[in-house]
Amino acid sequence: MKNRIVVFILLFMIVAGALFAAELDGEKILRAIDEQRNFTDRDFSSVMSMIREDPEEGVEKKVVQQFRRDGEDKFVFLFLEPTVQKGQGYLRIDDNLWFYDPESRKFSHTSMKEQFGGTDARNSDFGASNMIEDYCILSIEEGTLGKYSVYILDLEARHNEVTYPKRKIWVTRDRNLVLKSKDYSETGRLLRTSLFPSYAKAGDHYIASKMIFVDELVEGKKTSITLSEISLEPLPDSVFTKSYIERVNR
Amino acid sequence: MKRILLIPFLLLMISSVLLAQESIETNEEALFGTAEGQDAVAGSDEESLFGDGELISEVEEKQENLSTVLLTSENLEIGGRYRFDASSAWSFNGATGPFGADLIDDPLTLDLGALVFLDARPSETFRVYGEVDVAYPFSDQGGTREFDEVFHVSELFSDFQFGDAVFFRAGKQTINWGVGYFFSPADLLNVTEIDPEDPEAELEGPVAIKIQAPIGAHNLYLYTVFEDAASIDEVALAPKAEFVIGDTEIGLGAFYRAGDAPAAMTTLTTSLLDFSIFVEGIVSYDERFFPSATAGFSYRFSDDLDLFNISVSSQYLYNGEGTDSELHYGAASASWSGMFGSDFNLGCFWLGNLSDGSGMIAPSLSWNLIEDLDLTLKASYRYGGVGDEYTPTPAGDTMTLSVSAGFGGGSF
Repeated sequence: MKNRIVVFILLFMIVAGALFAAELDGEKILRAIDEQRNFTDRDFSSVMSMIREDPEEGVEKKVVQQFRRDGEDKFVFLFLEPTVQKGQGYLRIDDNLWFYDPESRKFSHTSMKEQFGGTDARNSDFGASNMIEDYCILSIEEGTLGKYSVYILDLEARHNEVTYPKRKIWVTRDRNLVLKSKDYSETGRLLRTSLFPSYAKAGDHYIASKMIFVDELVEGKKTSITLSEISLEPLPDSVFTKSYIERVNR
Repeated sequence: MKRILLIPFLLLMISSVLLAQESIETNEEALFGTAEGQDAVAGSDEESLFGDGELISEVEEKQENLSTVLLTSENLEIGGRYRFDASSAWSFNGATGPFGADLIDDPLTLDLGALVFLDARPSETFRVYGEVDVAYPFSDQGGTREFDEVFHVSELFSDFQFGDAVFFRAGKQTINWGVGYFFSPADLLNVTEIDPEDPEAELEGPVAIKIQAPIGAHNLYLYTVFEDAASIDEVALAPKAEFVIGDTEIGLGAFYRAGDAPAAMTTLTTSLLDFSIFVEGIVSYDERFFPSATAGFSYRFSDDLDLFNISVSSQYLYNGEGTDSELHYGAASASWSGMFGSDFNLGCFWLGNLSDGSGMIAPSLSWNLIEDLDLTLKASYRYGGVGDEYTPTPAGDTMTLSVSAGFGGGSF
């Protein structure tokens, strides 16, 4: 009887230890993703070229200049193309997000959950990554994606401030780079698949230089985003102001 | 004959090449390759789709500051918006419209014109911007039409700065003062008021100097307004401060011009659930205090299937500026764009004077026939007593049906 109890306790400890280790590994991965994607100590600039395919509306291209200061939760996005959207801009400071419309010359508060300028990307795709605080890990397993060895993490939102309540992400085992993400609704319906097939190494950070967002609800609807003119040069404080957006636009 | 066969064949070839270039590759094996031992998807060329096969590329960092690049330009930029809208309306006496009521008016309106802007940026600290609106008919119509109605300067200003902390805008400019959507009682600076039927249209601003000092998320402004000032005594001063507390932005401002009633205003914008909330209040003093206030919200909903793109805005206005009585107004609009993923947009607008009970309600349906051709059907019903604010004619209630079309308008 004693032996059985000892075996049971040992088994319980092994299982609990394994689960605890998995939890630790998962959190370590999420933390590493945040650290790599966030430029907490440096400013970041780039030009984003977005190509949107819609089976009904055809192909549309947008070009956006982005400036980020993740350490202070700030970003500025400025539409450079197409002509009809040129001059529109977003300014984020902490929890405040303003949208600037050059037609009316007005700033208006908007939501981080909104679609970004009519693409399949969301405003939340471009801010600082905060996976460790936004999601808890339901499960973690090893697998492959193409030729890459990956961890596959099932995530659930810790609060309702995030755009997607449930996510499944494929993360490379060697550098913790997210290659793929499936984003679900609260009820578990697949809403979007995101693919990140190439990364740029800038300083000690990795940034997805190509992103593909596939709308899983409308067949054939997808958006591809490519980053160019990447710079980590310090930006003046005045960039993250309403004044800059007004001066740089028409 | 062979040539005829060759043309469709060439067209087919060209279109398939173009399609191949435009299409976004989402095949995961093509993007990420395949694990050893797994078969590649027939036809997927891993090397060409994935460059040299490396996931990571070392970027050559751009050393120039991109934020300053956008502030300069070697060339003068010219752009604008072209418009050509034709509208025909039929107004009837009474609510029954064309069914038994008298036709009282049937105007045809043409709106042909263009807004043209010039933007010169010789250095990152100096810029000149001008904007003119040219509108048809392009003549004085035998002296009945002012030059200003044909060729109207809506903005002409320069931007310059002191260091990287204080920014100036000097000249004729639209001013961002109130936060109301349909009504903005606090906006004493712009020359034109918000048109509730076209609330997002650009307002015409005064000749003024704006001094702006951003401090983090906060902003300090001082406007010196020269519009209609014949002497230095008639120049107006309007300081304003915007503070951000949490996800709320609060504005405090004042307006002073010798001979006019001085005024103080406050604004607030914030988010509550998925609603954007705005509040605005102003009090002016002319032997006694005259308060006015407004509050409203806007809400946008868009489902993942793009079937329901809904926008709703509503606002209440208390106007205490009147000498005889206080007035209450309300306005609301709702729109459903791209109904069920189609090219149809449904909208409804309501504007009412809650004090005298008059108002107007206008449902509309527009159809985007092709990319640059829109057709809109609108019914506008004005109700209230004879002589009320929105039914000033002896006719009382009126129903107006209109058809309008926009031909080839757009930005350039």
